[in-house]
Order: sequence, then C-alpha cells, then structure tokens
Amino acid sequence: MPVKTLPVCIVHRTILHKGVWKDYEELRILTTFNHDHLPMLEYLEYRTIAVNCLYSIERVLAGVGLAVVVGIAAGLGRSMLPPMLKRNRLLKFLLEAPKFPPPIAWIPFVIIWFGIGETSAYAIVFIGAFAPIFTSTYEGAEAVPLALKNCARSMEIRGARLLWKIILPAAMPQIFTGIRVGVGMGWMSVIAAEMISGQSGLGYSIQLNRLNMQYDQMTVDMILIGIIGFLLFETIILLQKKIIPWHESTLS
Amino acid sequence: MIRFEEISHHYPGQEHELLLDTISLTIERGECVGLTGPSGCGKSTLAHIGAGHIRPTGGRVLIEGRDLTAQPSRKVFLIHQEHDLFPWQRVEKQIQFAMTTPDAGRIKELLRLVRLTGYETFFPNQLSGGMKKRLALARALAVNPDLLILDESFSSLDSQLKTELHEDLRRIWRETGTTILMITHDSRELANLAHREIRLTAERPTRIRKGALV
Ligand SMILES: Nc1ncnc2c1ncn2[C@@H]1O[C@H](COP(=O)(O)OP(=O)(O)OP(=O)(O)O)[C@@H](O)[C@H]1O
Ligand SMILES: [Mg+2]
Repeated sequence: MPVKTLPVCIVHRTILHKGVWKDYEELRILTTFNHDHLPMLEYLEYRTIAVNCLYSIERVLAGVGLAVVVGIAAGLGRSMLPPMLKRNRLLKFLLEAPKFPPPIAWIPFVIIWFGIGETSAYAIVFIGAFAPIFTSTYEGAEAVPLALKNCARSMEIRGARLLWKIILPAAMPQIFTGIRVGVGMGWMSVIAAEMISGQSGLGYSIQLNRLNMQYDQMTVDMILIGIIGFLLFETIILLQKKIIPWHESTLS
Repeated sequence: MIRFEEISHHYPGQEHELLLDTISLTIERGECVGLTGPSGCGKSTLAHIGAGHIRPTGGRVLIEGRDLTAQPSRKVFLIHQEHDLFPWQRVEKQIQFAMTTPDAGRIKELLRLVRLTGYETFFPNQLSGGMKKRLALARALAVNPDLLILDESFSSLDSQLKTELHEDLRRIWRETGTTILMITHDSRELANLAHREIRLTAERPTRIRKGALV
C-alpha cells in the first residue's frame, strides 16, 4: 500500500472497527486503495479544495489582523490604567472572565449579531485570537524593566511617546508570543465556525464530506488544515525576525 | 548646585529600619564628587533619589534651588548600575534618541569618544559588557544633564580602558562643566577624578561619616 494512503487508511480502519460503515462503503474504499498513484486524490476536485483553502485563509487573516490591532491597543491601554484600577477585582474579573468560554461557544451569539456570512466568520476568529494577544500585550507591558522606564523618564519621555517608543518595543517579544498563540486559536476557530455554520472553507468541506461519508476527502481537508496552520505559524516567526531582530529567540 | 536636604529613606515593608538617615550634602556646579561606602549601604538608593526615580520618605532634592524631589528630568541623569540600554535601539539610535535635537556630528563625536566608531548598527546584545558601559556613558553625555550620576560605571572595564575613560571623562568634564556624582569602590578612580569623597557608613541607618569630607 502506498505511504500516501496511510492516513486515509487509519481513519477508515478506526471507523470500520466501530462498525459505522456499511459494506458498500467498505468496498468502495478498499478498491480506492488498490490504485497505484495518488489514489486518494482521484475523487477530489482540486479547484474546490483550493477555493475552500483560500476562503479559510482569508477569514483567519482578516480576523487575526483585527485582533492584533485591537488586542495590542487594548493591552497597552490596560497597562496605562492607574494602579488603583489595575488592582480592582471587579474590573479584573470583567476583563479576564470573557476569555474562558471557547470561541465555538460564541457562534450562536455571533450569528444573532452579525447573521450568517463573512462578518460572523471574522468575528469568531477575532474572539479566538484576541484573548492571547490582549493578555500577552498587557503582561509584556507590565514586565518592562524598571531601569528602562526610569531611564526614559529621565529623558523626559512621557505619555503617548513613552507608550510608543519604550513600552511597545519592550513588550514586543511577548506580544509576538501572543500573536503566535492567537493565530493558532484563530485558525482552529475559523474551522470550527465553518463546520457549524459555513457555506465555504475547509471546515465546511469537512462537514460536507462527513455527511457524504467521504472520509478520504475529509482526511485531505484535515491534512491541509495542518499544513496551512503550520505555515501561518512559520510566517509569524519570520515576521518576528524581521520586526524585532534584536530579540534573541530560540525559535527558528 | 545640587542639594540633598535631610534625605531619609526606607523601602516599603522595612519601616523598622531606616536605610538612609537625614543625609544632607551639596554638590557645587562643576564639581566631581566621589560617593563611597560598603555594599548595601544605600548608595544606589541615594542615586535614584537624586535622579527623581524614588521619592524619599523624608527630605528634598533641590536643583538650582528648585524642589525636584521625585521628579525625573533631563537635569539629572543616572547611569544605572544594572543594564539600562534600550535593547531594540542600535548604537547610533541610542545616542540620537537621548538628544533633544538629533545632531549627526555630535553623535559621531560621542561614538569616537567612547571608542564605538564602527559599531553604529549593533544592537546592545551584540556588544561586550564593557562596550555597553561605554555606550551608556555616551548616551548620558548626549542627554547633557546638569548632574551626571555614575553608579559604578567603570567597574567591569580593564584597567587600561578605565584609565583612558578617566582621561576622557576629565576632558569632558573640563569642556562641558558637567557636575558629576560618582559612586565607586575604586580608590584609583577617586584619586584620578574626584575632588572630594563622601563616605557613607556601614551601620544602619546610614549616615555620612563625620570628617569624611576631604
Ligand atoms: N527596590 C528595593 N526594594 C526593597 N529593598 C531594596 C530595594 N533596592 C535596594 N534595597 C535594599 O536597600 C539596601 C541598599 O541597596 P543599594 O542598592 O542602595 O546599595 P548600594 O550601596 O548601592 O550597594 P552596592 O555597592 O552593592 O551597589 C539593600 O539592603 C537592599 O536590600
Ligand atoms: Mg549600588
């Protein structure tokens, strides 16, 4: 059996053992396996796959992009609050608690607010990516060494300039950690959202193939989700090296 | 003229024991004063109070007669004992950032002065420990403060470089008339640079040792 069919085979075996499959299906799959080259791609329509990938990628980029801007701004804003407010338990609760329901739990509300469509998809990605970026920006800003802040104060750098020229660059390494986590969360969220209410995208494709019991195509979707997720992650690391070359990172 | 007026200090949670006890000292314009004392006696703390980073629990810091207690400004610049360069700024940028108006000629001059010409595009983490100290010195001079506080700024440099920088500092001091408060454990440094020495005592609370003013 060619190596390429291995994941398909594993999926099918698991399902066969659970007895979910009908004999008909079993037969169809087993004949598929006997092809010598690219057996599992025979059924697939490349165009559909490519379009679905692009839809999902576009959604994750839009949602994460928005989450980066809003998350960093909100995190820095929070670090500028007077110490009394920072210590306020109620405020802390209001800021921290909403990030615990998973993005997927927000889907019904998001659909009520934005309807079914692209806006909802962006919103779900945004919800997934925002929390880690917001939290890591805030924590990064709080962790700026006192020596640096004192030095800046002695140069009479204050207010917006302090935030922009000192706090933001100093927090950048942590912000990037947040973005890396955020992209992963955003990517998982968009797939989940498409599975539940999508009209297109890889998550929708998985759901459709599941209903049609086309588990080989589903597996291709899963592999693509893995590959694209990995590439997104690598892109952020590349960006990090470009934007903060001074930061010694163990990532490569 | 910089005056520390009856400065007392303890850190939060250490109310039972004063660290500094009514310390008064005056540094005249253009003077270079050495501040010595055993480790942990509160020298760096006093330096931070002078720079306005810490509000002392008692007393005032007067600069040219103005009360600038706990108000950091370009008038007093402290070169920290620990590393305080901005890690994201290249050597040249560090110096430029410290100036009120960028001056390419002056940046060049300062780099030459601390022997960092050729390292303009390096980040601090690409410099050696001694080079970082020299960059911090150049940056402090770019701020051009009335009072420059050096907290063991030369302590990890080799003796030849130290001597050279002492020469430079003396020259800078002569040219610019910058007032200097220099915290050090090095008697040679004191002999080379300081007009007088102020010694803090070891016993708590720390006081200026009687008769220590040379
Ligand atoms: N941020 C702080 N919070 C609480 N205690 C502090 C803090 N900084 C310093 N101390 C305490 O104050 C005392 C004096 O510290 P300081 O750094 O002023 O000493 P120093 O004279 O500069 O010593 P050294 O020569 O070793 O640099 C020490 O006992 C130290 O534990
Ligand atoms: Mg010290």
